[in-house]
Amino acid sequence: MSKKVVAYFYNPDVGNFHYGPGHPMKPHRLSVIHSLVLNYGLYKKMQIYRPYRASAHDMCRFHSDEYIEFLQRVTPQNLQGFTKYLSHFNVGDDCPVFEGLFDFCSMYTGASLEGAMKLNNGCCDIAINWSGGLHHAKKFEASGFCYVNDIVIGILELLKYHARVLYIDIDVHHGDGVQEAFYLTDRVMTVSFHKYGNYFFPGTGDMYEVGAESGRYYSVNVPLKEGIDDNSYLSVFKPVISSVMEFYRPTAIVLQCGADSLANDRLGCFSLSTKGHGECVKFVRDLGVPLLTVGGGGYTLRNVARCWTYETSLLVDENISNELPYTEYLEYFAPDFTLHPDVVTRQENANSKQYLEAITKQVYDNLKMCQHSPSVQMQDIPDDAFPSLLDGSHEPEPDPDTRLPTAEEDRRIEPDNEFYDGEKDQDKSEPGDS
Amino acid sequence: MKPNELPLFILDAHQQLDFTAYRSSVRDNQMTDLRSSNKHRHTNASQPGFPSKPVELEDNCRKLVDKEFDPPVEMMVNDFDDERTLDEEEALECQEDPQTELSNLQREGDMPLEELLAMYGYGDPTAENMQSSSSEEMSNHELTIENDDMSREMLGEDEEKSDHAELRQLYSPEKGTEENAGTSRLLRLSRPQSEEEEDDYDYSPDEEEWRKTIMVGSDYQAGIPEGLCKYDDALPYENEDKLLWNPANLSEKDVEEFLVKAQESLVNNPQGVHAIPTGAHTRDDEQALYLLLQCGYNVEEALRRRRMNVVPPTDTMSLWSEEECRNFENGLRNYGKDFHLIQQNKVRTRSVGELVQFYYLWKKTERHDIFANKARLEKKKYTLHPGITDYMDRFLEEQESGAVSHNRDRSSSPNINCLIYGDPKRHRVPEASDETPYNVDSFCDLASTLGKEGFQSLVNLTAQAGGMEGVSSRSDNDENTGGAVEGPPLNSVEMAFSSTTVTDSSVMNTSTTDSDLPQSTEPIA
Repeated sequence: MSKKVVAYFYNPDVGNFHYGPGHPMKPHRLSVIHSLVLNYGLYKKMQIYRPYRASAHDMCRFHSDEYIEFLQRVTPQNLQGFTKYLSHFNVGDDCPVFEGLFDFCSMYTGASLEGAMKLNNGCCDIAINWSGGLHHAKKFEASGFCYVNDIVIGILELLKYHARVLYIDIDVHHGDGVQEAFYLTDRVMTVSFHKYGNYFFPGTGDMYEVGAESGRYYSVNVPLKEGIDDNSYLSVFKPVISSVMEFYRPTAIVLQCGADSLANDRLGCFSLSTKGHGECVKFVRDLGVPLLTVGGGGYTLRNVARCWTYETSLLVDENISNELPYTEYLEYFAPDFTLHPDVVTRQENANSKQYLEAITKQVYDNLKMCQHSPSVQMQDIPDDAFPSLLDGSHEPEPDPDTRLPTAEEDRRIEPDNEFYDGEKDQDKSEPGDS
Repeated sequence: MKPNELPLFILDAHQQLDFTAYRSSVRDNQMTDLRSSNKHRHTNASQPGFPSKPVELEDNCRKLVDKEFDPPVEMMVNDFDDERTLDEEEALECQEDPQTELSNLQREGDMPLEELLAMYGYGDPTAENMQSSSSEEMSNHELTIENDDMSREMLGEDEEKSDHAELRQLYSPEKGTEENAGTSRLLRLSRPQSEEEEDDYDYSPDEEEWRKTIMVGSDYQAGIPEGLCKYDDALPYENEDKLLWNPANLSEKDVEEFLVKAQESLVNNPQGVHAIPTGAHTRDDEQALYLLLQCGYNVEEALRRRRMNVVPPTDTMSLWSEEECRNFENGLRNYGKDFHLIQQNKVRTRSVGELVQFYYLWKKTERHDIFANKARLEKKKYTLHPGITDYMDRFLEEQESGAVSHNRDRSSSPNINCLIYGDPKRHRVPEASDETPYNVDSFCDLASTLGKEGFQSLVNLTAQAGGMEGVSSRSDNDENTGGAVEGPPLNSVEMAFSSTTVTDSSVMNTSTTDSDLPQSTEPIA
């Protein structure tokens, strides 16, 4: 397979924010990753962008105006004047007001938004924004260290060009914010693999949360128990994603790579190794669909840095050595100074083979329902952003009864590595449809 | 973990374990006892006709269980009313300009309750509101019913229907007097207050309680563009991004050769941060590559400009003066990791962002080790606190927890609303500070009275003590470093600090292991 064009979005200031004393979310991990990317020589293999910074207007594409205005105005100094809003917007404990909060949001959101836009315009096959992936943020409130949901905003951008967008979430926490945002639509399928149960945040993500109304069966949840190791995880991840691809056929994918699913995370409870985690990324990369990769959770700094550096190397398809190069952060990786340290965990794998098989089966059964769902709008055909620039002439509206007018089909640019062969491919392989 | 680290933190970890064990046992007991009763409440809460808001509802449920009394009718009614008033609010929102609304809200917050009630004219639930939310209710209903069915299956509980009728009666009769409407509105706003009541961990966690439901309604979902739309406005951000490098225009080999040459030109002309050796490998140089891009991928031109060195070292991490370092450390001592306060009061020459960056580099230097040792010694002497390996972290955390627990004591309460709850570091802190109340002020005083000589002797003292305790993980690291990395790893910041006198690196106690790594439970001999 020919190498893909990878675009990497990084704002050098994004790592220099601090959530406050004792907070496990450490944006500085992003600086550490960037340093590793440079020193591994991965930087020169990618298009590098210093991304656009999202405006309040961009954020309001998903969030409520009042919430964003609050985020814009509140600072640690004027906090007193906002006490009434803090609980209203769930800002405080998990999501503290810190110096430069809005700038931080604007940086990571802008990067995801721009990643989506570059994908739309065909500038790249893979976009990487490790600073994004804040999947808990809700329309009206902050949640779980997340203020602005850059993923939702990125997906909304992708939806301008893509009929069906797939969201995959391998954070140890349920991707509730994204699922909720697209709970009623069939144009986005959300698939989340996460620890579920027994007070684990955020408390959603039961496998019977499948979506509602038009979105019924378009929310996929794979609840897992603590201690899951590489083999068990992949034994669920691969078949589930394969069936999702089979039934949903997305034209773009957003992958949230939360690294708190790694072993020994400060907040997580899974036992994945960096290799196992990376294997998921590789699997999604090889699906050959335009891909926006974002970060997410990950609270043991050295492991997050290892993980996302390794995954950057996978996405650009370069082998990098297990021995870490010198960086100014080298001491963080003591005592082994390797990219893939051995996983040592006392966490028992609480997921039996039977349990995992049962979930996989359940997910498969739910996915089968997709093709019977009443929504047909998902066959929409993308308009280009600038149709006038491309063909100049203004054709009459295409006959709505014709599924895919030739003119439309010709105009549509499909990447060489497209997952399926045009719209008609769908009819071929869906026997139930005829 | 290295065996010689063991004796240090024994007592501490031991007590901790006891504590958590106790807590979880309490929780388990309660869970089984109260499961069924809670479940009923929840199931009924989401009956049709009641826009379900599990958050508030669950808060109430917990509160009820906390106090272990039966839910009075008003309480349940409140729940219902809460939803209705929210609907009303939302209806109002549509009509108001958000700007004015914000200020209005602020004003209202200061109003006494009675005025507020009067102002909103509660107690007149309009049919309009009910209608507008009916579709949401329907889908909600569907959802919760579904969830309930499933959970019934999963738990294999079938005796739950028994109480339905009774509770339904609580819900179905006329709900919502004016009074209730008002208080329930406040209930949402004062969520933290209700959470405080959860502080006791002896309430019953029931599956139904931590389970959350995905909310449905215009307040929750994103507005999906109908079909596929065009860019509505002309790409406002099109030109605001900045391409810093594009690999497409040159072969990999050419780029690598360029980078080697670019690095040489710097080595021959050392200046500032670049004077610090960065290891034998060629790293990707952002500036050099950007220069190459600016020169239209003309390697010769880029190298020429680079040799001219017209580009000042824009490395954000320009060298810190000794004074800045000292001020930073003083700030850290006084304010903990509140970089804003440190910036405001100690290091005005740097931005908060620079402080954060500096902190993470500093943390792995010998300077930090000295700092940490100092903190550790003080603690040893004055609190006789049997310790853990990473005193710096410990010290900072205790400071933090001091600040934290003033504001909110509920950090020890399991709370699904709080992701941070899962952080083991948060758990350790409260009981530790209970047993040895740590006085930051006295420490600061002491630290400030210590002169350099006194400090040096303290370091020596630690060297001996450190030998006994065998805390040094640094020496282990160094061995590994030699094997793993080409050449001795030189930390740029360490270099920058070379002016400070650090004698014995084996004294150092920076465990690179985090303090939340496995800890020993053996009692001290």
